[in-house]
Amino acid sequence: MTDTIRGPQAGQLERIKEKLLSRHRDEEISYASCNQNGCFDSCVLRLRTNKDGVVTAIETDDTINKGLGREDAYIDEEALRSAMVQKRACVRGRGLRKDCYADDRILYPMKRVGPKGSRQFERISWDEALDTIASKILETREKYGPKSVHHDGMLGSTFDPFASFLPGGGIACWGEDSFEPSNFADQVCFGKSFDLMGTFMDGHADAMTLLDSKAIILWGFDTCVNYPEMIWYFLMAKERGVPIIYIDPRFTWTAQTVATQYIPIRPGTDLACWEAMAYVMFSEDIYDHEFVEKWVEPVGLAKWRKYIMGDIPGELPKTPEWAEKICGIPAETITELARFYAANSPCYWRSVWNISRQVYGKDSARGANYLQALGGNFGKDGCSGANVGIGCNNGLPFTPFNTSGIENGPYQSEVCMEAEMWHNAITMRPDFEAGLITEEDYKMAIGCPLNAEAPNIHMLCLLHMNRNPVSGWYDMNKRIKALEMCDFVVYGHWHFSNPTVPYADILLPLAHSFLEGPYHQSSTPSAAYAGPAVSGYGTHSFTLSVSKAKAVGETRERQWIFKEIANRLGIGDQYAPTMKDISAEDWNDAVVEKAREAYEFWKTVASGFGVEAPEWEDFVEKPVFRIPLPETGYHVFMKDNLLNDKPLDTPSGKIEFYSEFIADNDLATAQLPHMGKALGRGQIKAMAMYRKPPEGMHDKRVNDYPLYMVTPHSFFKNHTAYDANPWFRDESRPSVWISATDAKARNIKDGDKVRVFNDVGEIHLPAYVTSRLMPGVTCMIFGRYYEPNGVKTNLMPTGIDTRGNCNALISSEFYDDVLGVLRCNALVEIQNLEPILNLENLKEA
Amino acid sequence: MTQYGFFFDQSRCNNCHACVVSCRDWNDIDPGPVKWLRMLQWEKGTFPSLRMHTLFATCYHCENPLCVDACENGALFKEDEFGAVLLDTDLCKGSRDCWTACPYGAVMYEDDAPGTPGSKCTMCYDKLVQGELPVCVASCPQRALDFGPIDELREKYGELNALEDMPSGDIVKPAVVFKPMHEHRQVVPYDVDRALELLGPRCDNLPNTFDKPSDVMDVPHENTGYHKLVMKSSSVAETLALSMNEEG
Repeated sequence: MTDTIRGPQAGQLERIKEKLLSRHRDEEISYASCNQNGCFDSCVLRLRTNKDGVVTAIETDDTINKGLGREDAYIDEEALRSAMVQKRACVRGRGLRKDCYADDRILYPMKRVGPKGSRQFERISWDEALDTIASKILETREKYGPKSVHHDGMLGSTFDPFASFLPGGGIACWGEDSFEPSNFADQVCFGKSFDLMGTFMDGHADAMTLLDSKAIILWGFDTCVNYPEMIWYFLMAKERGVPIIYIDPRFTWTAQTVATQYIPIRPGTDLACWEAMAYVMFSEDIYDHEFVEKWVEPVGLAKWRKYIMGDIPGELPKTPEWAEKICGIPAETITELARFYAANSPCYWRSVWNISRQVYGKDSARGANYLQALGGNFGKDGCSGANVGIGCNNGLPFTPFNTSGIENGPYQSEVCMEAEMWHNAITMRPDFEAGLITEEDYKMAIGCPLNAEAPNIHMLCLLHMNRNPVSGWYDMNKRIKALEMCDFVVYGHWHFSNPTVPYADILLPLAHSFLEGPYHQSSTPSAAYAGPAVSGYGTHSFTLSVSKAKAVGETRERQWIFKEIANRLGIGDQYAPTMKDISAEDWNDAVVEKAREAYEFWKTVASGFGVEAPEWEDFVEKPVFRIPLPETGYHVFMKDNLLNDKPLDTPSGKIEFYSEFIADNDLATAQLPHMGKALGRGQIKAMAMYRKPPEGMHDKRVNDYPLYMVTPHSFFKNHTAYDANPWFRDESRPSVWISATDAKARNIKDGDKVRVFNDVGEIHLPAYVTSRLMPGVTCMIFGRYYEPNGVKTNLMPTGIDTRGNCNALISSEFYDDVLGVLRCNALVEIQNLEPILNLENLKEA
Repeated sequence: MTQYGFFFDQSRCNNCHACVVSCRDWNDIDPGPVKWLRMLQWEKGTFPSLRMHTLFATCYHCENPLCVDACENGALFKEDEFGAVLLDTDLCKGSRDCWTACPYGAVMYEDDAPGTPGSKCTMCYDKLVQGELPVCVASCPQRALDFGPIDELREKYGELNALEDMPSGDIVKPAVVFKPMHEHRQVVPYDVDRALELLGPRCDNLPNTFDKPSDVMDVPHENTGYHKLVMKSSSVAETLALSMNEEG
């Protein structure tokens, strides 16, 4: 054989070359910033659009280091350490085009014409949709009072865009879906917590500081799925010799790729392991004395130490031998892990939020803070942040990205519900009104502080972010019931196949976030997330979405919808004084103009900090600005306190292990000293103490349902966004994970159709049989739609799920001990359906 | 001719499929079984001593492309500038002789019907002629991929042209360099036998999760998903199924 025989025929190469090149000829380039709620990395999407304004491809960030493949092989250490690198999108961002132009995209406003749940809709005009919504809001408020229209809310505030302009305000909620336990922990330990107004946007650490760590210990922190922008820096640290220990019931891709060592732990038992580590650190006196003496409040520490050492009545000493039976990690390993941890500060210690998203979860979140404190691992390069771990504000001001032109109104909304409890508020209301349950019981069931007026929800208006109540939160069946009972539901989304759609009375077609318009996330007056402070890396960059793609059909940007409703409510002049008359066609340009004003202002302020940002015209061409590191180096939470001897905001000025506030107050009425948030109900101890939770691996319910289901996030979704994306459906199998041990015991092999069930719900789907899972644990990845079959049962009145929505199996029980935790686990059983299916096939034959 | 090629660092790959989706996006490939680039995973070991392997599976634009020789219709050729092996779909009659000749299953088909024309990775020839990288290489968030003249890649990253369990590249000489996965090590001591003793019994005399360590160690490996590397499957449905992951 020679090369000539293998070469092309005459004209063949030219023909193929032309065919390939013609696909992307004469396209326009613009840049979007990928920022679906669920990730704040703001990675760069280089968009190619054709002459019709249709996105034809999404490319990699080329605003720096263009043309480099394995970037770190070509750049120097300083560039790596200062994050002068590309912001490469993960798979989610790269597949957005198929999501945007999906066959089931909702293109026009619609109203439901069939019964609830029917998916029978009819096209209506925008005017009819908006008129109907506005009149329904007014009518409902008139009939049932200001707390009757729920727009979702969290963190002591409301997402109701109109509440502050309407007498009586609206419904404000306490709690935060994703990280309420962590937020609570940071509040009691550090005296501050994250809130929507951005006052605590310094809880994180720049990812580059991983290169300063002596050791990295990750508790379920599956960076490969949840924090994609950080993976590379973890790898860089590992390749430079930093040992990375990863602890999780699952052998995840982080366990394989990022970790130096993988240690399995029983889910929900992390705090037991940490208490035993603390026992070793106390008894061997190897905790960080210097840090602890200076930064930990001593009386509370002494109380917790007594508890750990077994020096209080009724408590065993929390020895590694005590813990090993609970968490399944050998005592020798726990002891050595404690010694290793104590000997290797700065240690980047990080636990995933999900560890505390269980009954008694608030204890776990506080426990993580305690261990970081005992190791002296706060405020130094090489350390992580607080438990919430959001924000890397290096002192630079936020961009005042009020891109919507929206102002705040005069009326306050009262905190009267916990963020996720709207389903109880609706479904239990008739019993309360009929006198079957007391007002106190009703309030207690929804997290309403006893001294607040309970909500009376008759209308749901879900247009914010990507909310999908049917599969996005626990207790799917009850939420469906609530949607069915609610008088009027307004829902906005991109996809008709979304499982909440059938319950909408009015369905609005939303523009595809950042792909079809200038991006800004929130409807709250200050879109704090658009500032330079939130990213997986940290402070180093600032992006803006200025996509040149045209929105399809009659889809509209959320803010335009809100201001149109505001106009119809008669509050347009107050709500969006500068934007109220902007048409849908001119909206994006007007938002970019607002962004320009904000940028110019920020640029002026930033120059006072020695940061020279480019001119707007240059910035907007390639809207990524990499902010040079300040002289103080990386942002690390508490660094400022350590450097400047600045006390924390707790009563003692130090990290508090024991909360006097919790000890002294009735949580049914007391407001945490932050944003007026009352917990509404529930029991929690003044300091973190491990307790075996109901629905845990050591709970008697395992007699009926022996498998502990964990529900981690997916490579391919932000919450439930993108579950319908056909490209992503080609890359992943919707399955339930079952360990090879449990599969063997149930005669299940990979791919068998199985029944996953408990006393809450039932799902039929294929089994993924793997040794990557601890026996006794199963895994249903979170974020899938609900795709019912035709079989309706008592438990599943709208049909058995076939897609694998984990939330069909998780209840709202144990609310006394949940305290705002978004429950993410349940006990289940799995049964092989193949023998039954085979039998049915035989019968048919 | 300068032969260009890929570098794949298995020790960095976390099977996220960003490269796969980027490839489908740039090349506008409809949903279905055709993937010019597939990420494959396979599992080895038993709990908790596991290894999860990954493979960047595409056309490696071999220096000795047997697929070209196998095609009787002149539909495959090796171009001169980058050494890309290109498939001319206009001439392809779907005989699948190329697929049979290729050890890696690089040519993809929409369905199993005889005569269905194939298609495959172009090395992003259109991007190369414009001075850009193949879209997959530029996409990798872990920077696990690189691209360039294969001689330079070999100098930089070594000569390994087949990862563990892959078919030998000795005959076809793939234009690819691999770096294998790293070995895990015990930073702190961890006694697997002791751990399995602990993980069976639950507290408070509740039923065991399993009775004896052999329930965990002796499990039928062939019943687990992705239990071996399969680069060539007998149907497009199986090809698609094996190119998926479990979302994590």
